[in-house]
Amino acid sequence: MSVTYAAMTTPLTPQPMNVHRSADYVCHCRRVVYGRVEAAIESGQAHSLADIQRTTTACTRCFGCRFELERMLKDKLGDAYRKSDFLSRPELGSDAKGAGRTTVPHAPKRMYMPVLQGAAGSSVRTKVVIYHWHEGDDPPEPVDVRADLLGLDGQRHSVWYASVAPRESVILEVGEMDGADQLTDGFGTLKLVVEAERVGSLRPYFHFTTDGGITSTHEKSSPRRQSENVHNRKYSWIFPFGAGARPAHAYFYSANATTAPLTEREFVLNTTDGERRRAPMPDLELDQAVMAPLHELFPAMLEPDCSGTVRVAPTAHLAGHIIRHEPDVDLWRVQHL
Amino acid sequence: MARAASLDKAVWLPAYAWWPHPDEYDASVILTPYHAAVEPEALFSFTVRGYDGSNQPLWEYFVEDVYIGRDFSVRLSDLGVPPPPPGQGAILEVHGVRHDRMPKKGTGFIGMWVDAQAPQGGGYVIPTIPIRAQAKAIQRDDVQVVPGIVATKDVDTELVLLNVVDAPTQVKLVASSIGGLIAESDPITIAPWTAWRGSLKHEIPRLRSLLREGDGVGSLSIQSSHKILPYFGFRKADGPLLSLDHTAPIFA
Repeated sequence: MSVTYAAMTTPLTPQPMNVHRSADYVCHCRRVVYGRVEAAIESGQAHSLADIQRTTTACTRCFGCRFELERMLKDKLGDAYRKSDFLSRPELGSDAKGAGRTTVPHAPKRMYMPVLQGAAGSSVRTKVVIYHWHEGDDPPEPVDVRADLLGLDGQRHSVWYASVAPRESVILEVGEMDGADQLTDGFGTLKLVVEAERVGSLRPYFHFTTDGGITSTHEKSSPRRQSENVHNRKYSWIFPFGAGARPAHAYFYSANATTAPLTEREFVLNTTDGERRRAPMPDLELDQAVMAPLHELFPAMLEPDCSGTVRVAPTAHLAGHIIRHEPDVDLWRVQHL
Repeated sequence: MARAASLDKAVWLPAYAWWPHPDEYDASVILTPYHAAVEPEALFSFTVRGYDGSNQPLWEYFVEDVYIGRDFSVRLSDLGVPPPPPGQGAILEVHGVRHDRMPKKGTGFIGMWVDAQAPQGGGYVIPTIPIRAQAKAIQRDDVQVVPGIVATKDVDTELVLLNVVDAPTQVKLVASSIGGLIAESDPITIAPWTAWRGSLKHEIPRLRSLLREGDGVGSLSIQSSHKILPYFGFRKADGPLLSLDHTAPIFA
């Protein structure tokens, strides 16, 4: 299935861009530098992403460098590049302590949220707040968090680090990140990687702020387990809408937070008076997202008396958000699924 | 109208949301089987009730035969029910029951959605939340947090706290600067089955000064003597409450 919505201009094939490289890491989780990957490719050790995972350990935790590594392979190998299946749990061999143990990578908590930076002609900007609540004595260690600013195509624009001390909060102004002004149509994704065994209070909330006001909700996390049937759920994610005198534009933000590709899905409108309409949903790889303009796909949603739901069918595991916009007053509403 | 005798013993437990005054929000409850099932034989009924100050509902509205393919919207302004108190609002209960099977873990709940639109623009979309039967593992249920409160010259954070049990609840609000300095409210008592609504600037002394190091942004913990359902939103100058979201528990 190949879909492009004109209003979204979402390039689902990642495009080259100037990724922030100040730390020289291509894989921030495993601290693998660009040179290590380049050497693996040039020496003939790596012809595929799976080879890079095995030989360098890059792309074996949050998988945020996947598209960048694939581009390096294409650039270096040209026609000799072999696109391989994406390995989400590669065997890394014996660890340094020996005894023949196989190191199984600990998966960090990955959290996804939509980014709006001047989207839809709005003054909107995005801010994220993370709070490490603690009371009493014996405070826990600070928690390290990393934020990747992604285009909807999953391509990483820049990386931000913070350490959140107990009882303190950190604030990320997305507009201050490199590449924030390069997001296509002002839409993107912020992917947080949280190095904590327990989430506690570390669930981040984000603000969409305009001259008209602020709306806020929290991220959506990746599933704990990444099985092949992760998308077979017992219920659907839905976008509910009631009737009202002020119809608002409607955007269904959906990110694939799983290593299983999300394919052959569609948006289905079901109104309370029985109208049913369908529109295809773009295929999404891990970290890719779509900001579907439901008011363009289903113009009936703009009618004052129209109410109902839009769902993703068949069921899917999405990191998704319900987003409404009233352009005349430049007010946004956001809610996680 | 008597509260259904079976309600406290039901295996499908009710979920809740704020019931705003209709002058402030045009609110609709969206009832959809798709948010709870995929099986074609799934069959639900829903009862929407309004409460204010008592566990006896002021009104109720029943929707039956909700099956795959049929969505319903209950627009509160169309029900002809008396409005809740201006300002504070009251409590909305949405009690979904699935008839073709029992909950897998003894008890369960069927969450639905409220879409509320303000006449001047803005509003909120929010899920209904139960007081019991959530599957998410939490460390404790007497503390919830709001990362990202705002207190500036132009913007205030507003809270709506719902007490949906038969006992009064004591609440303390603790605001925290980004650097960890704190300021507390006086204790707040929320009567059974009522909504409490208040401004953080009003409840917590010197809040704007406290949050200055974060350009007016900080965090909040809400500590309560038993579990409550807290919501927060933002108000700009004398404008409407522009948004509403639920707070976050301390997750396991």
